[in-house]
Amino acid sequence: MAEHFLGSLISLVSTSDIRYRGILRQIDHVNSTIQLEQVYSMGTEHRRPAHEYLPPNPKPYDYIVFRATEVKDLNVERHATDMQTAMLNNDPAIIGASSGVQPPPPPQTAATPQAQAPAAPAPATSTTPAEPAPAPGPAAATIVPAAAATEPAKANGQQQQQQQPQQPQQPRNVANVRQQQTQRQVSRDGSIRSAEVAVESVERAMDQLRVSSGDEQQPPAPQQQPSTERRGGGGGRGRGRRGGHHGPAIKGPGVVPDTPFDFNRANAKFDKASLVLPELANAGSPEAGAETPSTSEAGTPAPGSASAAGGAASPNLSQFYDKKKSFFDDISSDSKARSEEASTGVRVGGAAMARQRREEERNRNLSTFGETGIAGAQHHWHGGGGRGGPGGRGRGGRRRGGGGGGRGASSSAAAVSAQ
Amino acid sequence: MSTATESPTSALTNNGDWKSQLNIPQKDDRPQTEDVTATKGLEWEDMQLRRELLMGIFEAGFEKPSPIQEEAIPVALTTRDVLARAKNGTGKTAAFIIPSLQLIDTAIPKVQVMLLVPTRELALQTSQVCKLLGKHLGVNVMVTTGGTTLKDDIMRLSEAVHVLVGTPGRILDLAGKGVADLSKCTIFVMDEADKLLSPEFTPVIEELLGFLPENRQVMLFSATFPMIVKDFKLKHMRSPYEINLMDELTLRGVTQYYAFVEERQKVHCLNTLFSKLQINQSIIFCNSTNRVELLAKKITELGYSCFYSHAKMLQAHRNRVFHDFRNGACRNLVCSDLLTRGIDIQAVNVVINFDFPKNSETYLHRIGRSGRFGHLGLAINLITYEDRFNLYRIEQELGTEIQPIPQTIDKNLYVAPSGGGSSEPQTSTGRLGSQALPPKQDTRLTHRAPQQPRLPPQVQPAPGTPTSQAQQTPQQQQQQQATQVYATTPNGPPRNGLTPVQQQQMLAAQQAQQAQQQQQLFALQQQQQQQQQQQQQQQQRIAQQYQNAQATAMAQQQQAAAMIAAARGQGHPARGGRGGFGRGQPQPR
Repeated sequence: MAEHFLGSLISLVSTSDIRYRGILRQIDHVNSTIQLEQVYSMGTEHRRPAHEYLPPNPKPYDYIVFRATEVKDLNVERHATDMQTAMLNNDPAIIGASSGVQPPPPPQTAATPQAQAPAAPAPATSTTPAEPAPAPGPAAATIVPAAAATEPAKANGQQQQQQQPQQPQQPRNVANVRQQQTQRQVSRDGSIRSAEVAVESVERAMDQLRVSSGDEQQPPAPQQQPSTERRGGGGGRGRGRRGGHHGPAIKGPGVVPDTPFDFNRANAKFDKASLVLPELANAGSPEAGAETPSTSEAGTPAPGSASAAGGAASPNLSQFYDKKKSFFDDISSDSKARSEEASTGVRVGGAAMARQRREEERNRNLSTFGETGIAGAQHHWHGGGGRGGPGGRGRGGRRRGGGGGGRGASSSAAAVSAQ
Repeated sequence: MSTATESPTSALTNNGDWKSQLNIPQKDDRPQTEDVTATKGLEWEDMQLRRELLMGIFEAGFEKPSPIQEEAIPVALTTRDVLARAKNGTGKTAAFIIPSLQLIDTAIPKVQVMLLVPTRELALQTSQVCKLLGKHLGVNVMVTTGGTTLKDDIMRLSEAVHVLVGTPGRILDLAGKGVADLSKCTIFVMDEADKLLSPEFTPVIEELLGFLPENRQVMLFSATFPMIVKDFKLKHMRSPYEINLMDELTLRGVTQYYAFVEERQKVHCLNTLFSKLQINQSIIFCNSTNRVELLAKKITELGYSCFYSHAKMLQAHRNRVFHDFRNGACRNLVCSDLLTRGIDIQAVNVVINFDFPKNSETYLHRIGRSGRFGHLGLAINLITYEDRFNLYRIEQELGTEIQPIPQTIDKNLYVAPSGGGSSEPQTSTGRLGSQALPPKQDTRLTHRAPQQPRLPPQVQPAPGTPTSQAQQTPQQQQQQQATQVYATTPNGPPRNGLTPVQQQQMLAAQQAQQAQQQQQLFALQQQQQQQQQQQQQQQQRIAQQYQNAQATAMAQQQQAAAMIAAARGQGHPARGGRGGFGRGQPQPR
């Protein structure tokens, strides 16, 4: 059902905190990959402290295959059906006219194209520890220069990261476009509800991928996966799978099964001990581990902790609180996170940041409860584009106003609860 | 008042007389951890307090000072500045209220004590304790927070007010307008001081200090003291006496578990927790106000009742929720981090982090809502893949272990034994609307009667449950309407389609099974005792403490008897004297 989303303009954030915007082309359940077309790298925006800032890249990549496990967040910016108008004029024959697809708006900040930019954060990703030169893409498993009729890979530095021979891609691309066409037919009929369900299932699919990767954290999956023949058959198989996928109805989000939740089974998917080890290893060598995954994963308030964790090789209690050493503690807190963000120059309350948080929450709410909880949004999901961007401006304004006002106007309570 | 000047020694001389007159609430004999029992053995009578104050203390049910009270009160009485650190729910509030009340001269009709707290609910709670302890002193306590009209506050301040409790913004407002005269306010206390000294509050606090006299006494209390407080200490405190009773950060009595879930499974997981756990009262935390409301709605759809509260609600509704939940009108409370700090509801034995918090401080204060005053409690964290590093980090920083949730959770880790005390449920059901909420005239503190707000087992109601308004009195209807804004009542059929009888039977069977499992578990624990590591030993200790209390119930079993003997050797006798806090009454406003 996630396939309903094929053709949608989506925005995904990698674990390296780089945001990519592009059109969802394929979700490969077997290889745990997500493929976007017409992808703009938006850089790190406000997600990383200033010294780690990566500028957006004004040139789009024809397509990028992302390793789903390294995708931190995924938003649908414009649903496929909304994009239809733009797409209708497109003859399927002109596969090559990649720019004909509703182009995402240019990156916010004009930046000189930097060859190394997207590659830079690669060493930071924990899953690719000892990869010297041809580091895999930022979050992407494989960044593949477009083959078919599109312009040859423009993505400068990216070329070296090419992992696949070019030949098999041409047919695949065609196949994809066809699929996408059929999909579009389907999604045209799709109700608003199904759109929500589809978002959920993208999330769900990703969740599952994440879970499975959680078991074998270490092995960098992408290198093995894109074996040519497997990929070559991908299109056809994908379709078959898709057919089957529609059948076993994914329970709507928030619908609770009658059977009790199996804690043991769920916990078996999560090996806390193994999780800790790479982290420890990173923390042990401050050079390499200065930017441990905890920073990217933990979201905004994390940077402080990472430096704390990186500071000492063996994180024991005394590092954060030791009654004998000091009355005061050094555990992570709201105000600590805020002051650290302030000192690193990252604007916490930035409008872009706020919008992003709203988007994230909206998607999360959809996953958890089957609705966004944001006034109006659940009734007019499709209206997202019309509101001048995802996030629902009216609501956003209210929320921000509420939070800020509360703090200033003596409402200690508002400040306390602001999360 | 003449009584105010009575010499403290007179309280000791005719000890028996006055004490026998008191309306001392029933003793709470739930087991407690050394977080509150490891005292030097000081008695209230040793502290040279006014008799009227002692009366209030005993009537509140405080039998003996807790460790922090033992340490802080004598120092505070010397008017020295105090910096005190003690774990969640170990009696800090009383540790600053008691000396403050002692030092008040009721003959002076001016504000002499200011108690600052970071949230409005906490202000209500603190003022309740203040009123209760100062009942016989003739002290006027006023609570003032944002979200109420200034006019009322101005009216109140035209009369004599000795103690001002509130949130910083409003008090600054009153002081700035010249409404509150703080020139005689010589005692300045900050509860949850680190929160009050977070960057956004600090300027307000500093401005407020400008209204106080030079010879003021500054006291800071909290369970967490980050480095930022150091600046304040250096700038505004005069050689403060430091009290730190925290060898470690987390409470001994709170067992922490995690359940790994996908985001979309959270509701399912919670539903299962509801059916499996023996929740007396629970607080469920979400990371945003939207999610609070969405979850409350979901819980209702599942057939359970709950209240919810967050900062974007009307203050009157927030107060009502707080008050009613505290009185046991509802079993579950869904909230944002608004209620993360300081809230003292003794009947809460389970805290659920529906959304895992982002930092250690928040986590610590959240789980500290259960296990109040050294009692036992449970903290259950729903962890998604995204939370994994936060989980690890919080464990590291707090030096604690959050274990995977077992298939069955030992009841002895969080359910008080039903022996002793009144097991009369305070409300006949956790479902709102099925019973009116009579205003409680009881002035006892909640913790006095341990099982008092103990609710019957939480069961999903069947469709036919008589909760319809037709069966209620108009008064009840009115009350319900008043609470409808924030309370959710169950509607819709239960998912499993069982009749109430079937459900009860299932529940009974389940409980019987669990009881059996528990016994096996005890035996197992005995065997493992020598081998197991510190963490588990701690849990065993807790379990053994409980066995101690369950002695009568299990006496006929030889095996049990043997274990009890072992437990007696090690266990800590349950001691009285809790630093609990008042049951909220609705505010006059």
